[in-house]
Amino acid sequence: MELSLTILIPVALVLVGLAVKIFFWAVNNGQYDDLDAEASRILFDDDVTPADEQVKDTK
Amino acid sequence: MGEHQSIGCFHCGLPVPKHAHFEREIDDQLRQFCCSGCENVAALISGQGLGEFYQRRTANADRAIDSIENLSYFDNADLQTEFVSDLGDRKRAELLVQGITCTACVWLIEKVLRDQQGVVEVSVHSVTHRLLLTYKESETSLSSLMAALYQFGYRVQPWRVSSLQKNFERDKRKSLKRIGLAGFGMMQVGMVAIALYAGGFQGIDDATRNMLNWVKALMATPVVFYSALPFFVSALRALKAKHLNMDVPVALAIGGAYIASVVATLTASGEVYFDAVMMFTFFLLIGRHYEHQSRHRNLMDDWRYRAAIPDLALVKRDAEWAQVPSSRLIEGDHVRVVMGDQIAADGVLLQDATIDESIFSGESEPILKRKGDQVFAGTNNLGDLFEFVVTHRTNQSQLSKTNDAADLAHQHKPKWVTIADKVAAYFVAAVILISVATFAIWFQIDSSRAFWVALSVLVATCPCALSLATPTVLAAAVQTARRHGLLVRNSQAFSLLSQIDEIVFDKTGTLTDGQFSVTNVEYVDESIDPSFASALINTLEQHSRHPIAIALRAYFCDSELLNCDVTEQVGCGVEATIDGDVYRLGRADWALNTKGKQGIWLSCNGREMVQLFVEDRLRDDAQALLKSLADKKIKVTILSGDLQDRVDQIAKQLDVGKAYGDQRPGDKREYIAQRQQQGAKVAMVGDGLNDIEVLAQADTSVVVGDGVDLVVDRGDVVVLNHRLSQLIDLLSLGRQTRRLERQNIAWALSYNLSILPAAAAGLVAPWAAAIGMSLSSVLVVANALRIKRFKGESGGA
Repeated sequence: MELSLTILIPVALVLVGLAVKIFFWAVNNGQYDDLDAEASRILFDDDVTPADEQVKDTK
Repeated sequence: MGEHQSIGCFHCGLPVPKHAHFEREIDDQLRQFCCSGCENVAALISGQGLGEFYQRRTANADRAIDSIENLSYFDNADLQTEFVSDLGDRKRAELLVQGITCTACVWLIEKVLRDQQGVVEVSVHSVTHRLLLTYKESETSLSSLMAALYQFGYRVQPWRVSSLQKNFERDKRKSLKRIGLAGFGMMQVGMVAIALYAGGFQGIDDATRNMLNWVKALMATPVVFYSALPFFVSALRALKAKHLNMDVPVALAIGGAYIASVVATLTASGEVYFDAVMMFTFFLLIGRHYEHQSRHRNLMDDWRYRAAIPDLALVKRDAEWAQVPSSRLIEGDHVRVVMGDQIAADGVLLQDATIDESIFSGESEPILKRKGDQVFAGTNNLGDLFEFVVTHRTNQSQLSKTNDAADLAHQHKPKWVTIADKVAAYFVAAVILISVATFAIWFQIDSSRAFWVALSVLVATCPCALSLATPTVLAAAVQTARRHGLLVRNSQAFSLLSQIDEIVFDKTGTLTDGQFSVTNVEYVDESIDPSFASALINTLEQHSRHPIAIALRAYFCDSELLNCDVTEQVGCGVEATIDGDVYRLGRADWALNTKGKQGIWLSCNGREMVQLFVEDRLRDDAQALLKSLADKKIKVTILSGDLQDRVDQIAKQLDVGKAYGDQRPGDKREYIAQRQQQGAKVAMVGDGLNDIEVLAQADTSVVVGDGVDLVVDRGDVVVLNHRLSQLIDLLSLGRQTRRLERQNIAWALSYNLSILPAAAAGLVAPWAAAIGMSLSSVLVVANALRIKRFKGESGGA
């Protein structure tokens, strides 16, 4: 019991630290700057148009 | 989609000109367009398989641009240093896209650009309209990418943001990080807390419990020192200034609870409040974040007005046309403006033009302007290409003056906002005292609960909402007014306008449009040669700026000019001496040196020569305005420097009982002062040119320009679109502002007063107190923003 706690708690702390780090990176990277367009973006990329195929071709 | 067809252009929604035949089949249906530009753009959009744009959009697109200017300028490496960053083999440009109306535009722009050779990454911000474009310079150039967007009717310019905007963005990111950290911390501490609660039921040994408390402390520490930092900083700043603000109780609550908990953990005795600290911080930060966001949107609206000056202007230099940065335009430059372009400086037209002045007036109706008329920086050319001569460079233009005036108004803190701040400070002091008292009383009753009950009181009753109640309403009201063509220079005007009893109008240039026309010329002295008299009048009035002089000059403009010196007697007329004879042209009592005559006279040594009859035109909307004021039971008085009979004439047309002519500015001021002594609240409406002291004497003042000179630095409110009926909007906006302010204050006060007993009785947990306080602030902000839905009554905008 004591042993498992002394291992698991540091593990949890490290994981939380990691999560906070990733979140900070995402914010600094501008991923949270415009939440309005992101809400509509999922609708935009859903369907394939000729333009989409063209993009794939060029890549 | 059918409705677009019948209302107007399928692409931009503007009305289709009667005799225009711009038709094309789009998605198997015949559509009509207002111009070939829009027609081509629509064909291009649907031809590229992007026709979904028309189904996705929620607003009509901007009118297409006919011509693409010389964009190669933007490939210039020197210019690019300002907005393009070098990323090795690729470059990233920061651009501002104009013409985005909804998220469908975002989709279209991104699609179009991704199709281009050499484009690596595209992202468009739907609120700020910023385009981040990463491309390989070896495969494409910035100008060709910009040209691609121009084809779709979007114009692009380098992204230059004010430092204010940059600060906001940095603050937003910081605030998100603070919220995130507090959220993570809150959840982790919550988990440990569950273990402790379980331990409480099943039994837990002291060593384990103490260890878990240490874990909590470890997680709470970064939250207190990073996430809650703004509260401490703000509270300290306030205390240093010997002042109490909202953050003082918050900082006390967070700091106090944290320190008490750390001490409890160190000594392994007593209660820990880490969970409460975390939840406080988290919910308070979220509330504050939303409040900042809505204020940011407000700022963005304002900021758009600043973006209205184009970066480049087409200028004639050494007989050749060249693209020159707008900031380098000087007076006297010949500037060419192509269709759809914005005008870079104030100037005088060399050709007729169709202009969109909505940036000043809030009305998008195109205005036809004649050769010789003034055009203003930031307005839009809707018609054909035209040229103009610069009279005021960009940073001295009406737009920049208007923006300066608006800035001042924002900085200006109305009296009762300062009062509200003071009241809130007392409120905070009371909150702290009550919390201490609560702690003392609960310590007697149940010492284990005393601390968190005191915390709840401290937070729940914090008067955040109270301090936000009026400023948020005022900020939104000023914005809304601007959209309706009203520049509010002093936001106090809103509340004063809602209590006004009497409005004093100036006549010339206010109730009338300031333009006179000559109705009759009577040669009283029959011996006089009419051609000499005409030449004399034309010469005398040549340099006067008085509206009547302008009318006479226009009437006699075909006559020759005589060679003589002319002196002007302000308020009387003009005078010249030719061959020993003194000729005077002006008001009867001055020109003829007698009382009892009316009108305008030309005299020779005081002898009657010619009588001139002029008439000024009432503004089209003066009648409607006065009728609506009568309905509102607001008294109307006309005070004019003009002759009594002409004032009477106007008063009769408008059905105004009290109208006084022959008033000098001093008389007008005295009249207003006298009415104020009788307890009336008086508003003055004038043209802001020669009535400054009168405007200052009135409780509040409105300046209505006459369309030539826009006066933006006088009066509490400036009607930017010269429409008198806008006053009706102003009055109802004032009333609505007042109403929302009252609602906000009532809500904030009743919330604070009703939560106080509950919190003191120990019925409100600290986290609930934090939510309650945040929610009440958000509610106040949301209520304030309702004013943005204000639709004018006058039918304008």
